[in-house]
Amino acid sequence: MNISELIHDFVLALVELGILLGSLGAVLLVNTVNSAFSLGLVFTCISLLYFVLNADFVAAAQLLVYVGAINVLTVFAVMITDEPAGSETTARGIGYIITAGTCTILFSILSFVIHNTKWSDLSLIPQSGISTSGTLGSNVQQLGYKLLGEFVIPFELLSILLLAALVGAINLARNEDAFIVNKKSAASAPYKNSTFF
Amino acid sequence: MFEQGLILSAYLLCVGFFGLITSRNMVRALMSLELIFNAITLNFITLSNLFDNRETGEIFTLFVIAVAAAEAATGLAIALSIHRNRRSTRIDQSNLLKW
Repeated sequence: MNISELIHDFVLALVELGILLGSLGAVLLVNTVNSAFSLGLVFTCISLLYFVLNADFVAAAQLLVYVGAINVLTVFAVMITDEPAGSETTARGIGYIITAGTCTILFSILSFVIHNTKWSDLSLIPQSGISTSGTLGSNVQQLGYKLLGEFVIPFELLSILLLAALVGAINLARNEDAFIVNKKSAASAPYKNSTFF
Repeated sequence: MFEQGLILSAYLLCVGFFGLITSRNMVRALMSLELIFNAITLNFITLSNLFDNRETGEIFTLFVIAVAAAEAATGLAIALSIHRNRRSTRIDQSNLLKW
């Protein structure tokens, strides 16, 4: 029992250390590709933290959407819009210091408030029900029932939003000149570059 | 565990704000924005773990993840388009929409 708790604490500390250092690296690293990969580390560690917090479905969704989609998209965008080396100036001006101080003060205030709040008094429903209904199947089933029962209209609106956003993104990112040139060259010599003919 | 999660999400929020304000690259600003979204979802999951009806917080987290995916796709497409037109993704150099 003691050993398992020790392992649990060790893994938790490792995950939190990954989040702490990875987020700092995502912000502070000079090379943007390195910070994109560091962001992937942060997303993976947050997904593992969701597993610890008994939110299995959200952890899987986080791993799929963030690490699998958004991070890959970010890495591609970084690679396409690569800055020439040296244009990212590392000069730390007065604004940098002011922002760092402001964020440190904000974090201090937030952690002070978190420490000084009696969270056990706040819980409206008694805290005993945390781990009683925590099995995987029932949790995911209840999530599905609520998502398609009580929250069905926001769910469908969300699908419309995703469709509109993706169509808009493709329309924005499409290079129209290259598209026209490609169509002309394809119309003039359709089989010229094909390896099948 | 509970306060630990909340402090972790506060830390992520502060680091995200710091990166969002100080970054000059547009893609890096979007990455910091993703950090802020992750702080918010971590807060939701931690607080929903405290209460009994925990599905509501998880559903809201799923909504936030989906909106963040849409935001990332659109924002990166805008960054790509600006890079194609201006040969730069620096935020302080993109003054197309300024009077």
